[in-house]
Amino acid sequence: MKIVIMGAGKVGELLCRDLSLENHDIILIEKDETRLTKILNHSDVNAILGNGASYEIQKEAQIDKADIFIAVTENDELNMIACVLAKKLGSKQTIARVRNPEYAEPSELMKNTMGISLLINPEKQAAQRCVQLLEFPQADSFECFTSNKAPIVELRVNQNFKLVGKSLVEFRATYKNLIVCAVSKNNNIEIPNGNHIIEVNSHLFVTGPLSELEKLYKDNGQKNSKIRSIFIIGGSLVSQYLIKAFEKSNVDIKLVEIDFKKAKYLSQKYPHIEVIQADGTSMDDLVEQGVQGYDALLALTGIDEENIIISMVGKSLGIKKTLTKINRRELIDIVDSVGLQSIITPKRIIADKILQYVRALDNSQGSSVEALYRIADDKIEALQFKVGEKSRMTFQPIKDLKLAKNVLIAYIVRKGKVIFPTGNDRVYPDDRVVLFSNNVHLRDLDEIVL
Amino acid sequence: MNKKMIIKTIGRILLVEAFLLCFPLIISLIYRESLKNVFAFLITIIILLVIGGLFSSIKVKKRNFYAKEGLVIVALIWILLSFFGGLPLYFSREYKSLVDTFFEISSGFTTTGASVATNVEGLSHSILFWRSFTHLIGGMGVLVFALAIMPQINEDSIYLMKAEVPGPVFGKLVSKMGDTARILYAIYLVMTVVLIFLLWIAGMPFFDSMLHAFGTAGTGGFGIKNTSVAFYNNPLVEHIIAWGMLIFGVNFNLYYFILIGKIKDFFKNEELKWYIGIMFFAVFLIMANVYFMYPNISENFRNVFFTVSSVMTTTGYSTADFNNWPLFSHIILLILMFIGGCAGSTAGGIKVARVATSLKSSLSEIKRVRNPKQVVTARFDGKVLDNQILKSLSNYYFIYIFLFIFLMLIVSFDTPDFISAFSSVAATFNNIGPGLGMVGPSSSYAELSNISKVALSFGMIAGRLEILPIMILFSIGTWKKA
Repeated sequence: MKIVIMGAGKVGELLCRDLSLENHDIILIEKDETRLTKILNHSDVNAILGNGASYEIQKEAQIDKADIFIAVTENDELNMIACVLAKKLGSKQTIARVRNPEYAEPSELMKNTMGISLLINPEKQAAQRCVQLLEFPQADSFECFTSNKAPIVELRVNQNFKLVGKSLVEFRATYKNLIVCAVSKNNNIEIPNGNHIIEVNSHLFVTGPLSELEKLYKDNGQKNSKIRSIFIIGGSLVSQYLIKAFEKSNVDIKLVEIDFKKAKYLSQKYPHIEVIQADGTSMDDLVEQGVQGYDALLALTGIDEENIIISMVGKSLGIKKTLTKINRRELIDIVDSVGLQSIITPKRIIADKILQYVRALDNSQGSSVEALYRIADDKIEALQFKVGEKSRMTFQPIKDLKLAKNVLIAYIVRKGKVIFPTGNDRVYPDDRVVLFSNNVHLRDLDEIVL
Repeated sequence: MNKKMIIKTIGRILLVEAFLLCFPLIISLIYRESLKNVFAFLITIIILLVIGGLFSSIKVKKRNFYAKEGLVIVALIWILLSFFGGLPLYFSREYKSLVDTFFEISSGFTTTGASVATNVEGLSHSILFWRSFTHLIGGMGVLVFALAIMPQINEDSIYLMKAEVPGPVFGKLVSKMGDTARILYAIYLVMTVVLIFLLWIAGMPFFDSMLHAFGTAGTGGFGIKNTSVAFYNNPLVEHIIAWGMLIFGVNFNLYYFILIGKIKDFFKNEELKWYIGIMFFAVFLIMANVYFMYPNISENFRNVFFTVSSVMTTTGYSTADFNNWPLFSHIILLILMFIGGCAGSTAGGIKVARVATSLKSSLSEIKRVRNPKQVVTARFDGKVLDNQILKSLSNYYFIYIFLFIFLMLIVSFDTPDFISAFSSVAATFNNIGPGLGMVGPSSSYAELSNISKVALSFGMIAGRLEILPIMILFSIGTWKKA
């Protein structure tokens, strides 16, 4: 497909890399020459220097032949104007990043009036991710597909886990309905077979019903305790969306913000929470505010390093759940060695979202991608497909299908019910199939059938 | 420095060369040449398959690949391809030493056209074909060719293409690099085929027209007759080749504009205007200078235009022995040798774009000195020339002069006079071929010592790759662990 991307920030860069690897024709528009050259050196894309919201530049990018126009500059208004223009000039689909809630809501109305196909808000998505993680605090990461019944959770194996040194066959015997979809250790990730031996400190990505997952975490020495109070550091947009999300629950929220004006604004806007004006990186201030008494600590300032330090402090103070916002991907590996729990990266979340949208568009006839998550440095993809009428996978027992290597079918959703398939189960049209694959760039379910 | 990745990439390109060597092998079978020639090609192909296969089967853990690796790969590949490409010439015993064959094939791949063969008419068909075929491949670039035929390319291979396409600027035609390489090669090959056809129609034997078309397309200039193109004594052929060289000296991106219907952009290009302007101004000056040597104006124009086109596009075919022309004409030709063709073409030299840019910025300097308060901006092709561009340009000139003097010192041991020493370096470093004096159009480089030949071979490769890759290959910092 022909894709025009405007804005070479972190999201633009990620999209250029990922989409060009999926063999799309990409033209990147950016005002800053140094950023442009940097991306040109790493991704196989073409580039235009200039303002992507201008008629001249869009003409030069041949927007009339474009399938998708993606506006991901820092500036909401610019993104929206550029999308409106691109739509008028003939781009089939437009995607805009809009973070200011005043523009984004009500989203259907805004989309229709401006003709923008998809409005994405990284901060809102990140806040939703935080909420999920707080609902199941034991997990290091928690991804849900359309049904909330079988999430994919990440578990770091503790020393006293009883199955350490045992194979996955024994794992399956102990936990009948759980499936280990992927295992990562020291930056190596694989889709395991039954002979895989469980090691200490490796990360297991497991899917299954919530009740059984809870049992698994209990055996791993992590108790299920509901989060009743959260301590947030940094009054960023993510924090604000998060506060909104918890507005109606009776979760106790304390927020620390260093900037006095901002703190004041937050206290006026959200009267039901406690706003503290203090330095969130100072241990004294945190202890003074009684951080030990909270169930979860969320480090959501704009600076990665501060967030990491805050979470480490929190961990040393014995807080059960810490959640760290990190924007720079390079830091994620290092952070894992320090032993931090959950990490969220807003920019990656929306890059995944856009990628999923593009892939679904690319394949509107067959069994298209409905949801996509990438785990472990993008080496493994978890995908949900809607099974098409003509899929080659349907009506035969799974064991009779010749499936590609390194693909694992996690579960099937049929009429709202989750089925953890054995070899004798069959797939029918309109089912949802969730699978793991390290053959990235899957666009159609049939690609896994040999 | 990711050495494994470098070795692997080199291995793959060596396999590509093995594939390319199949063409002369077929020629030698068609002409029923002696087994010696067939085996010369076969053995080389086997050597390349073994080494290339071993290298490319290396397992690479880290796939990081940066500008440094790209430059080193390009430099090494050009040296290795020239060395291995010379082996069939050596095995067939038509050339005396490995140094000679290295010189000959470097000269081929870099589209120089300088030869050490004293009697080209004595060479067999397959060897002649291979020499000229290297012009065709080297003209657009070996790696560009590899990018065009390899289905899946590394995301970082842009460094390779950047290092190989001649000229100060590099632009992709379409967003996919593989497609860009394919489009460039398609334009290039179609134009070559048209040229073969025209030469054939004009009365040249088919084999000869093929080889001359290769030499013209790559702006190489290996002759297959001792008197080069003059042998055919056919004014039509000379005109076709002269215009052909001119056309292949133009930036290929411009032909893409024509292809997609943007003919205006083609004629708006500033470099093209300079290129045509300089060429015809030089033709005019030399015609005036040598009018007494030719009976009529059409013969005068034909010989002068052919020579100017050949020298400026750094091809090196000859009709007239310009060694006999007056000094004024010699100096004009020497200047043209340095200017060279357009960026992004198959021609060598400093490139018209660089020369024109420097000229314009110097003119703006004059304005600035005359009126220090005037705000002056120099532009080239509509783009403002900022300090960064001008700085890298002046550094380029400095390295160019430095290397030039270095090569001239080495060659000075074997050359009788200044003009021979100077023009032999100018003609190889700028990828032209024949120089003046001892290395003029009617003689060859055979008389030089081995040291000079090796130095000039490296000079040719450095000139073709715009110097920097070769300099980086030999700089100590490149190989340090860091």
